[in-house]
Amino acid sequence: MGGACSRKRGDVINEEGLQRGFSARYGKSGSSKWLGTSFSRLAVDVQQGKRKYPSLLELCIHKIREDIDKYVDKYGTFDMLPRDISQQIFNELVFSHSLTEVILEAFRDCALEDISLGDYPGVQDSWMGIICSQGSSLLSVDLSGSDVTDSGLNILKSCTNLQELTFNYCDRISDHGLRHICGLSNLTSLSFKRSNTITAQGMSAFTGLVNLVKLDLERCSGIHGGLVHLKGLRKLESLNIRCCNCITDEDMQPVSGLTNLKELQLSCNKITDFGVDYLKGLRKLILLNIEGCLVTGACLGSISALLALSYLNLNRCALSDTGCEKFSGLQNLKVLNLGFNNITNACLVSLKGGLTKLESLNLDSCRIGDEGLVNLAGLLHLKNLELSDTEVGSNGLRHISGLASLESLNLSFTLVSDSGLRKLSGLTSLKSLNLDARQITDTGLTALTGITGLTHLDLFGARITDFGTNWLRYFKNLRSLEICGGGITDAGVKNIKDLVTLTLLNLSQNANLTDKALEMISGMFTLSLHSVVYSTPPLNRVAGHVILSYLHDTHTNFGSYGRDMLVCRLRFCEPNWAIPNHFIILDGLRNSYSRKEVHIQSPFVVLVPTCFNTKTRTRTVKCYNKFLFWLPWFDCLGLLEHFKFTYNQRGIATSKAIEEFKITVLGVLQGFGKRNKEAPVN
Amino acid sequence: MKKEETVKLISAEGFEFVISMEAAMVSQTIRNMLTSPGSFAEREHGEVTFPEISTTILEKICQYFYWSLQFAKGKETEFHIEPELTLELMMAANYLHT
Repeated sequence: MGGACSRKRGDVINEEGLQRGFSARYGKSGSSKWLGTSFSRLAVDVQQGKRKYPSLLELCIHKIREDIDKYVDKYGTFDMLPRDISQQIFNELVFSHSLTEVILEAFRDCALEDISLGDYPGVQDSWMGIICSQGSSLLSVDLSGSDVTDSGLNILKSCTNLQELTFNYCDRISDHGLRHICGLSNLTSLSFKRSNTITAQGMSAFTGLVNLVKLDLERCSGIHGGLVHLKGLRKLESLNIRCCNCITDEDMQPVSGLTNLKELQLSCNKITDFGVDYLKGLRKLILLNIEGCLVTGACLGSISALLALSYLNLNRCALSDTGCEKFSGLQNLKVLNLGFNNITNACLVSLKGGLTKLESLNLDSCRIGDEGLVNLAGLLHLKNLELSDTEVGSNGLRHISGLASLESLNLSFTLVSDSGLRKLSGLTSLKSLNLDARQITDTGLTALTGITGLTHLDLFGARITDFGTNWLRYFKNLRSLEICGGGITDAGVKNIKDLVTLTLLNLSQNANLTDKALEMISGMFTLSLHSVVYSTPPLNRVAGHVILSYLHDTHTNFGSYGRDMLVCRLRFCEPNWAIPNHFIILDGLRNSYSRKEVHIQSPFVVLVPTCFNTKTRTRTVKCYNKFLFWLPWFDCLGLLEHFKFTYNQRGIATSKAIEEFKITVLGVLQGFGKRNKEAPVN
Repeated sequence: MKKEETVKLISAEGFEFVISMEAAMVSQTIRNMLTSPGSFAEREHGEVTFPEISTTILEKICQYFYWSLQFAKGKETEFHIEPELTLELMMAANYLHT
């Protein structure tokens, strides 16, 4: 057929971007509270895509995927197809988890450009031959999470046109393997996240990669001293060495020469003010992340020289008010994260006036109160404001009542009470509102009924009763709702079930709910599953999430119906589970159910086995994928300890927990730490 | 239907399929052919010849055009594809931006 290639490489990358978005969540650090939030947002936002008829090409590719074994038997190879078509078939097979080593053989010499097998099960050295047979066509390879070893990398060195190489979480790659890639001078992007065997010595292989624009060595704990080998990489624009926990001030010296850097991620390392001083010459820097480093206000002098900065993350540093006046010079700042610092109202004065472009401000757990908020009144572009765990009360809200652009506001664990919520009534752009605080009651909700654009409402610990649920009907666009204060009974659920736009609902800890409630909402779940499961092909383009977070309080009154429902729902979504990008959270599998075997095929599963007991621990869940995740009860205790620790220490342990347990997402977790301070009312 | 509201698609073997303009426009390639200033002949006569698409495949493609219009209107039925046609159909679909 003519040379009209409909799918250019650019399109493919976009699709990959969608896929990769999820593996990227791995590396996300920060407190679990944030992770949890972003997860639920993601889960529901994805489904907002506009429905259009599938293209004929998509239908055909879907068809081939269904009968792939027959095609492979009949033709043996796809090399007679134009490259862009075989590429799409390949992507489809990967996306649907249908690709096996046998099928892969059919793609020998197909001149594929992209091999994106990140987090794909079973990938090992024996796959490398076919991958490398794509030869000079091959431009990008992602083998994250695979068992590929140094010798696998050796085979790859013949693909000299490679531009992007991603080997995140490959435990079997070491310094020796890196030697093989030193000749791939066309590489522009290289990623070896969490490769603990890589050392400074191995990094000498990077010296020849002169075209490198992006280098990602996140969580590589042995690279101290190795950054010196990056000195010649003048084109480098993005360097990610966060959570390496081994980078020190002296490592910053070679970084100071990388003057084309636009993005620099340094969080969770041993960098102090002295190290930050090396960075003041990086005038092109747009993003700087020093979260969790021991820097004080003294480093702000160096940072204030970085006039292009638009994203600055100083979360969990050792900032105090001293030096904070330097913020006023950073006039291009759009995102500023100052959470968990020892700063007070005095620091906020410096944000007044100068930072007019600010769109996102995080003051989580800072020592700020009502008077401080007066300095935010002029930040008219502010879209996100995080005030969780501050001393802000109802009186302070009047200062932010004029921030008409505000889309997301977090007032959880603040002193804000019902009377203050009236001041929010003018914030009609609000889409997300977190009011997870015990003193919020039904009365507070009445003041919010004008904010009809609300899509996410978190009333986790608020004392909402059945009466309050009457006001929820004003939120016609609500997609996620959490009411876990214990005051909801079946009567309240009756109101909730009318919120047809809802795709995420958390009613944990409402001990008075019965089977009847479950019956009512089961329709909703079916509905939201329906749209994922039975959407016409190609259904694997729908990046959805099946959330089976359960109402798992051991004191709930669910009888046999509840259990049957769970079984039924598991069955219902089973065909869908083969599709990647579905996070499945089996939160609180009940004892009686967990005696049966659950078979799951999905790359991302988090089991939160709150109800597993010692008797049923073995073979409860069979996992077909290394990223599926189940733990015997013994290990679960360890896991839960981590979460407990996480909540108490406000995220410091999270990265460790994520790393050890390969948790991709911390979903709907509760009952630990802070949230446990006050028991739900019964 | 008036003649100017229809398009004639001609297969490799010379079979002619007369379909509505709306249906034909589902294909980005045909749309370009019928609207771009460069393709005078196609615009003038409302005819497009596909010397590389067989009759069986072209028929299937026409069926798809009408199916997708129905689908867009909310009638979400399944579009059946015979396994033996899939590869050839796929290449044609690729060519037609469909």
